[in-house]
Formats: sequence, C-alpha cells, structure tokens
Amino acid sequence: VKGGGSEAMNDRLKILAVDDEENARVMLKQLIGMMGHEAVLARNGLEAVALFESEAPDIVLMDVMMPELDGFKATARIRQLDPEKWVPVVFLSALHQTGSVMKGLDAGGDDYIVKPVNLSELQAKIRAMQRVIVLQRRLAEERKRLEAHLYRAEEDARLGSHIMDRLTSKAGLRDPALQYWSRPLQRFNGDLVAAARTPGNVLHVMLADAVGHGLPAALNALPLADTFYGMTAGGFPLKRIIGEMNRKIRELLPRDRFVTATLASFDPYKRELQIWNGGNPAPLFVDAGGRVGEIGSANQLPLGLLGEGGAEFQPETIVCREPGQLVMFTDGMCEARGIDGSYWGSAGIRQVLSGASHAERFDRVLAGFESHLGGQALQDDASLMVLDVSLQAPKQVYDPAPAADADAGWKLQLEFGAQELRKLDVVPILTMIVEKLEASDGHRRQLFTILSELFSNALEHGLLQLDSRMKSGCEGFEAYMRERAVRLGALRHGWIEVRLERSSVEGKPAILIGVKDSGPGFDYRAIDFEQGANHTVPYGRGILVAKTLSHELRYHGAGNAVTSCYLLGEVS
Amino acid sequence: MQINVNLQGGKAVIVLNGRFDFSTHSEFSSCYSAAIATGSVNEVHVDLGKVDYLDSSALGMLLLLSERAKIANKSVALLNPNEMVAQVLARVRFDRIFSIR
Repeated sequence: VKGGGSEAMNDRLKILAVDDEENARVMLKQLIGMMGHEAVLARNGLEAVALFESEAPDIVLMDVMMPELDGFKATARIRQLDPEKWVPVVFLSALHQTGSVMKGLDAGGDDYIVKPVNLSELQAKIRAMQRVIVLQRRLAEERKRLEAHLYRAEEDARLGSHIMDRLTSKAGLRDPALQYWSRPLQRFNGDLVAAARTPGNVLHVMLADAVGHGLPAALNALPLADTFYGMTAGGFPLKRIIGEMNRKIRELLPRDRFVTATLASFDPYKRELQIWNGGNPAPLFVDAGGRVGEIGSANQLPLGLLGEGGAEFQPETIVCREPGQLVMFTDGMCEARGIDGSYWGSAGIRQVLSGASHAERFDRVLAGFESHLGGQALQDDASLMVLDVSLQAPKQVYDPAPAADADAGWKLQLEFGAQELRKLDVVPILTMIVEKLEASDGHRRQLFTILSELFSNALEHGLLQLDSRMKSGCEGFEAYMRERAVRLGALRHGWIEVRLERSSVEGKPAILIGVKDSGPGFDYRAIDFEQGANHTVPYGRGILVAKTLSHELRYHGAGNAVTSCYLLGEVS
Repeated sequence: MQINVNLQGGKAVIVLNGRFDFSTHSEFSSCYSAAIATGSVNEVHVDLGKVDYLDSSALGMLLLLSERAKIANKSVALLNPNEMVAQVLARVRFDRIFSIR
C-alpha cells in the first residue's frame, strides 16, 4: 500500500465506511487515511444514513450484514435522498453472500468487494471511482462558472437592449408619412432607423448600417442616434447633422468601423426633398405614375471616412412637383442570397415596387423579401424605409392650445452683424428662443417656420443679393447653395435685425415678428400672394408659407423690412 | 478561405478567394502585415479576382490595410473585382481611397 498525502486537495475525497465490526472499521479508516482521504465511520445502516445526510461523503463502503439496518436497506434509503452528485456505494460482502450481491446492485449499489477485503483491490476501486468523481467535480465547477458567465452576459444584454430601445424607438418614427421595418441578424441591430421633425415641421429620416452585426455594430450606430435626434430638434439642416455625425464617428470609433447611411428630409411647405447617401444602396423614388428610378446619384463615402470639408455633406435637393415615395434600404436586403444562391439586388426590389400600388408597396417589398429568402435565415441586419412625399399641406398634430394670457407682454430685439452671420447658425438660435416662448407645440412650429423663412429671405436676398430664380432645377439649386456659401463667406458689411414682441391684436393674444435687413429691399408688390403656397415655382415659396401661417404679413418701405402678426388663439 | 501572397519584385500580391468576411480577419491581417513589413515591397496589391462576395467587415479590413500602408509609405491597389464586388466598392466610394484596377 502506497503512502497517501500525494493527492491534491481538490482530489481529496470524504469516504463513509460502514461496518459493525470494530476491527474492520479501524482497518478501513487506516487505508482511507493512507490514501490521503478523509474517513467517516458508521457502525450500522441507521448511522450510515444519518452520516450520509450530514457529511455528504463522496464514496460509501457498505458492509451488508449489520444490526439495526442492513447494507441493502440503508443503500435504498440513501438513494431516496437523491443528492445532486453521483455517490458510488461499494458493498463489502462475505463470499457466501455473492448470490445476494445482485440484489444489492439492484438496491442501488455500484460495485462490491468480497470479504475479507483485499486492500490492493479496494485501493484500486477507490482510485477508479476517484477519477470519475474528480472529473465530475470539475464539470460541476465549469458549469457553475458558465452559468455565472451566462447570467452576467444576459444582464449586460438586457441593459444594452434597454438603452438601445430607448435610443431607437423614438416617437418620431411613428410619423404618418413614414413606414419602416428593421430586423437584426442577432439580438442587437447594427442597422439604425431614425426619424423626427424639426421645429419647422421638416421631416428628417435616417437609415444607417454599421460595419458588422450584433452588439459591436449596434454600439457603433449609437452615437448617431443622439446626434440625429438632438440636432433635428434644434432645427439644424441635414448638412450640419451629417457633418457632425461624421466627426463623431471619426472621433469615437476605430478606422475600420465606419457607418454607411442614407439621410433624407422633406419640407412639406416648400416641397423640397433632400437626399444624401453615404455608402448604402442607392435609394429609389417611385413617382405618381408608378415609375421607379434611382434618386440621389451622388453617392458619398460612408460616415467616419469623409473628410472635414463641407461639400461632401451637402445633400441633393429635389423640388417635388408630384407626389411619390422615397424607398431606402440597407445592403442586408438587396444582398440577401435566395435559396438558389442568387442575390435579390436593387433590381428585385424595383421589380416589386413597379408592380404594386402606392398603398401596397411597403408590404409587397417585405413579402418579396420573405419569398426571396424562402424560409432561410437572414444573413445580415436588414432594413427598409418608405417615406411618403405628399403635396397635401400637412395637418399638424397640436397639443390643445391653452388660451394665452392677453395681458402678458415682452419685447426682444436681436441684431446680427456680418461677422455673426458668417460664423453663427442663426436659425438654431432663433429656434432656442421660440422654444422658450410660452406657446404650445403647434404654435412653436408655426412661429419657427415664419421666423426662419423671413430670416432666410433677409439673408439670402437682402444681404447676399441671390436671385431665387437660380433655384429652378436640380443643378440650379446646387449652384444656388454654392453661390450662397461663397457670398456668405465674403460678407463683410450689413446686418439683420430680428424683433419679437408679445402683444395683442383685436383683443387676441399675438406675437409680432419683425425682420429688417441692411439690403436695398425688393419689389414685394410683384409677389402674387393670392396664389397662396400652392404654386409650384421653386422660388418665393418661403414668403408665401410665412404669409399663410400669419394673421397678417406686410412688407414695408423699400422691401427690406417685414412684419408678421401671429395669433396665439386656437390652432385651426 | 485560402490566402496566398506572391512576391514579384517590389510588389506583394495578396490573392484572396471565395467569401471575404470577418472570418478571414486574422489571416488577412497577418498576410498584409508581413507584406508591409517586407522592406523590398513598395506596392501591395489585393487580387479580388476570385472573391465572390465581400461584406462590410472586409471593407473595414481593407481600410486598415490602407492605413498601415500609408504609414509605411507604400501604395495599395485592389485588382480584378468581379461585378458584384465592384458594385460594393463603388457604393462606398472606395475609389476615393484605393486605386482599383
């Protein structure tokens, strides 16, 4: 018999030895101790059951013939205790009892040794069982570690989902002009859909696709959500939002983690559709006649790869003369492989679009996608967005306007010099001011629209002397915007004054807006106010929109000063 | 995916085939790192002729390659993309970052 103590602590077993003969117990205890294990001794079956419960041994050596409770019955009771681990029971029985050994194995024993016990044999059996027990212990530890790990991962994922949901399921996505669908490959979506309206009621939408999928991709898309919603609420134009998102991704993410994105905006008053695409499949436009074509031809590098310059951030502007649908999607959709291994492609989507009616198009594209996949799993995050371009004047959703206090009164006057006009984005500043007014949401939007239209007119025509007629046609618009940037950069003289006054008109609460510029003015009598905002020439619309929203709008003097009177009553 | 690197004078040609995606990451990066680290190499070419699909992670890997090459003052070109691959490269305007032949 080899000396013990060589077993690692982890491999040390607790062995319950049960025998009614003292000599046998002493011998077993010695053997167990020599093997480096711990012995627990019982004199009969009853003691064995009690010690099994209190000591939780790893192996039981069980004599068969004992007073009180014999080895078989004790084993049967032990088996009923049903511990979580496997505990082998070895019977020690005299040779003449071998017939009943079978009965013992039936009672739940695992092995037997014929008495008188051969020490080498017992030692060998204990070693064999020890190997199994040690393996079992390691597995149990592994399982515990895995369970803890899984639990932590679940908790992390739950937190991630919560944040992601908060950032992505914004109310803006429930816009009546919008339908969208997005499905992640894994739990987290690397595609991000976002939509919100500016204070001036311009709808901004974004469809972004971060490199890869799962949590890392979703993390990459996160900084975009905040920027998009924050800047849209601040009334910033798409160009500035795109520039800021590009900056953020460059700053936060490693170089190989860029984000492809399509951004679009629709101004329901001016009927201007703006589109910018950085690395997503080209968006499609379905016109009133059901014809489908690509739109926004000037594709750009994805967000995070663009330079610091501004030209790449400039979206293309299209003045819509008829209603239609803008269809945007990520590559997960057009690059999905079908059962036959073919890609669906933009062509597949175009085919479905052209065969469907206006109302059905969104659903038909989804159905077409499903049938292309033919029951196969997704291969990438996939998203679809359809923006309705309607020429109907929008019905705004207002909070019920609380009756404004007719006695309230204040006056605010701001003057912007050439330097401020060059450097500041004045419109968001005006937004902030309008935000602070006590008016309801609906009023704020309309006030914002009036203010920003009148301000843009003063700047672009009064100071920069740009001619609106340049804007006709796509290229015209771009040329106009370029020229605007050049002239603004060179502006050294001039000013614009903005005046806001809380007042009352005909006994009703009102806000008076005055905008005056240092320019030479213009022939305001030539504008056909009667035609309303429904005329389709691409210029002069701003003033008409402001006029429609005002109780009264009047130009003064040479045409370099304008006042609008806006009533704070119920919004009609 | 099997990646081969052929050295032809001052050129290292990395030849890829099949699906170029994230599973290729470690092999691809060790290939281009070795190519860039080789003193005699001043041009790294990535032969995409036998690549039938590349995903956004592959685009990311190409960007990392271009960045490393730039630091080492070496040029990078993408060769022989098939129609599908060329479409993806055009969509993300990689023609502005790489020479594509």
